[in-house]
Amino acid sequence: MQEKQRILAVFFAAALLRIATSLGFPGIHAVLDQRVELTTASSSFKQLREGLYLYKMGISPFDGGVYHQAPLLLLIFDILQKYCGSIDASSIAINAVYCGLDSLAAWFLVKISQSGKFAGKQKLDGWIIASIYLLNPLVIATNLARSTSVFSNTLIFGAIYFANCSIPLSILCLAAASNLNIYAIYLLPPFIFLWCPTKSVAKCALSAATFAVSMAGFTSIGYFMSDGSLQYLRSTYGTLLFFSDLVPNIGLWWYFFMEIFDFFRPLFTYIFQLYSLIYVLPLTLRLHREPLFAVVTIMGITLISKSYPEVGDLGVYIALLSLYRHIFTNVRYTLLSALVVIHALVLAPNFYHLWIYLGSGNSNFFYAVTLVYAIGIMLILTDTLRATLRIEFDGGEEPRKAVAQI
Amino acid sequence: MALSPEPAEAVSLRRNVVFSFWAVFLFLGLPLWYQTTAIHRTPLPLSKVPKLNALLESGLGLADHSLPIAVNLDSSCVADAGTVAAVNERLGQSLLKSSGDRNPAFTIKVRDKASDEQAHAAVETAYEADCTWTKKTPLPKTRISKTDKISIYIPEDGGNQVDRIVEGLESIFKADILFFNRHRLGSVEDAPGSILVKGSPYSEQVHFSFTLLVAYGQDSEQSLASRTDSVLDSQTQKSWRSQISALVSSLENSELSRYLSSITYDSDIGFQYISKSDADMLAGSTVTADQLSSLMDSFELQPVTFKSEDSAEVGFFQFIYLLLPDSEKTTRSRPMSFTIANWGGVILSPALEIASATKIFEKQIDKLLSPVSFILTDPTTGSTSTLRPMRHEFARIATITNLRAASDTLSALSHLVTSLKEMAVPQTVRDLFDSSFFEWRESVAVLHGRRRGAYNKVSEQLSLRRAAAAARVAKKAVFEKNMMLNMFVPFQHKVAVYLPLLGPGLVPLFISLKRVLKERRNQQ
Repeated sequence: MQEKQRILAVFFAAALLRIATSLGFPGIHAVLDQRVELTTASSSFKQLREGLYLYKMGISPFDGGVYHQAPLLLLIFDILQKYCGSIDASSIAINAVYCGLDSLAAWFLVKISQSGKFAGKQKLDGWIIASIYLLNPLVIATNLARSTSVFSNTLIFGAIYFANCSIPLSILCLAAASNLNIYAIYLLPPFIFLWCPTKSVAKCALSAATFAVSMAGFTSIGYFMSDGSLQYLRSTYGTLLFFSDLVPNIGLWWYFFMEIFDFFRPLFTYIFQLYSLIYVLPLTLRLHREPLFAVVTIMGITLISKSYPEVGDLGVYIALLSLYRHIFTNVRYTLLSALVVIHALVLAPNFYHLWIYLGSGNSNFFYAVTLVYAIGIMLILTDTLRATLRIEFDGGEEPRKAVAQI
Repeated sequence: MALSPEPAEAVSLRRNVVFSFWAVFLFLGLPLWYQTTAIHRTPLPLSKVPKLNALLESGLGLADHSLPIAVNLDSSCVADAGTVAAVNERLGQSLLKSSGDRNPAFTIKVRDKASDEQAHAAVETAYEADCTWTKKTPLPKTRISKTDKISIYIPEDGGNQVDRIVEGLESIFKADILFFNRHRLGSVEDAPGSILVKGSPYSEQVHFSFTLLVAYGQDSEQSLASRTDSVLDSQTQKSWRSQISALVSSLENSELSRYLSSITYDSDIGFQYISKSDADMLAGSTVTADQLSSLMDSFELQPVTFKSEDSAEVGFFQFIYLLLPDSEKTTRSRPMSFTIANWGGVILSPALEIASATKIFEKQIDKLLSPVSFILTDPTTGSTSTLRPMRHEFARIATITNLRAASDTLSALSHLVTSLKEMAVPQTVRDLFDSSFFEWRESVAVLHGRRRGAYNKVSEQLSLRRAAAAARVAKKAVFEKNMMLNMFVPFQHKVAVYLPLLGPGLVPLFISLKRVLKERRNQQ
């Protein structure tokens, strides 16, 4: 009971924090929405509202480079506006939706940690796991910025949770998450192993086919919303895949594409996309006994290699890593990687401000910080992967001697 | 402590992982790399381009070069038979062919020695008086007919008579229409009171500059010092401007509109005084009609006098060459002197007869928009005559200008493509090239009268339009965006990009493949 009470207390505190901040500082949403670290062209709430306005006016929101997000979000917010009135960032309806989504995501996490997957292993208490997600400043900031990536993150957590109890729901959640965030499709191979632990070819094929049909179903929403046209694919997924909207963000793409010759632009686009894709199958095969950890690792790789990353993705990754308490004893570079990431996150807004507003810096300042950020994430990735493989090598046993940690 | 052998499952798993990396690299990476970096060079029919130039050089708009000629030597000339033969031979190598037994179409008279100023080829027509072609008033003829007689004056110092004769004839027969064009279609900017007349979309811009010089009577008390830049009062200026605007509108609706795409009146008309000396100017003395006339004389210009409806005489000058403020001719001009542009005119009005001047102005601009009139003076007799080329030559000139521009542009494209072997040539460039070439051929066909029958007003417009399209499309082809943006990237640059991009990924791939193959060999 104490455990349950603690969990509820964390949920309550998180919700209170979010709502109080929203009501006490209504302008904070607009300020945070402007931050390139928190929102991008694929998750900006302001762009979503512009797209919704155009949609209601009968103008296609996918023309003109205004709106690059999934049509499903337009549908959701259209319904929300119809029944709840205002969809202003600080309105009650939006507050409730975003708080609810975060709470749901945390609930999924807690349930995943309590599932059989982690039976017999060292794990953190449910309230700690919930706290790591709900009280993470990165997650809170992303929530207050009203980034639409909250939707896809919650759906991914749901897909992982439902993989234990209801595979159709899990498939549906992953299809919806992929529809909202195309990079979630990279999680399909490890999820197939989650859905089919026996690795029966027939079952795997059926799961994949079901996913494809669900994905097509969600994609068709956009087709019907665009009056029978598939032009919206260019504006939504095309922007993510071909990096059409050249805007600085916490990722590694924008600086390259500002500098390279046009001759090499298609090559770089494909190579950068290939870089995140190439790890999916090998990781899934190598971690076939730990498909959930493959999901976590692939999410970590896409965190730095996708075209429009956000710091909220790091919050999600850390929350998922918190499920693997038992590997922490094998991890070596905890302090180093934590400090690198924290330094990068502190310096990024300062250097961006120097560059854009004060004019006393330049793009190299900000890009250097994003490189440091990527190095920190890679340190965490390689360290945790190494720790997992080491435990696997030792037959799942704890290390015989203490691992020196930096 | 010896390590236990790795289980077979682990080895197999590692092999699968390595092969999955290689599968993505080979089946996705390599095709994408090839697709995105291959240089697509659409073949262009570059062999057609020199033929364009040849067709143009063969005298598209020039005289019949192959007419037989004969050289009749004047008894007073110093040329001898040897000189005549040498002339014929040289001319035969250049443009003309000797007559042989045929009746000569041209008779070359080698006349008496003339002054150095007259020592150039002159054109003499059957129905016009002898004219002198001087350095200062070049008189190229656009078309020489069979009735033309050619007179060549040999300079006093003799020199190489053969060279002189040949040079003179070559100058005539190679009288490039562009030369004619250049002197007629020059532009003047910042000229006071200029009216910008834009040629049709197919020809160059033509600027007309008109300055109203008003002579005041002796008894005028108005002084310059009391005047601002505007000479006339605001009401008169307003009246003048409104009449000019009306004139501009009427020009747009006139027959001349086929040469003009738009006429805009873009600047105020400036009025300036000319006086005898700076002191007079500064002191603000008046200017009389005599003073104006004498100034015009100093420019060696012949006024054409018109009588207006109310019998006031209005003088109008036409110029065909440009006088710059610092040129020799205007050294005597004052700081407030004007720049007279070619195609310009100065209207002298003895009084403030704006209405009359406007009417004369309207007539003159009509003439000016026609091919220019050359005022020719015979140095020997002093008589003057006017040479008026055919009106439709304007369109023809513009057509040929565009055709030359198109062929030059296509030549440049040909040179660009052949010299830069690694430059991409997209299909759009080929389409534009073909389009330009087609328009070029069609324009020439119309010029030659092979379409729509004889060359008439309709066909001249069609030819002009096609020639302009050829020039425009050729330019588009050279500056095609995809070709220019991807100019070319040398192989060394590509290696410099590929190595750091692909190298760090390829090294572990190859090492892991090597290990897998080694394990497989050991297993076997």
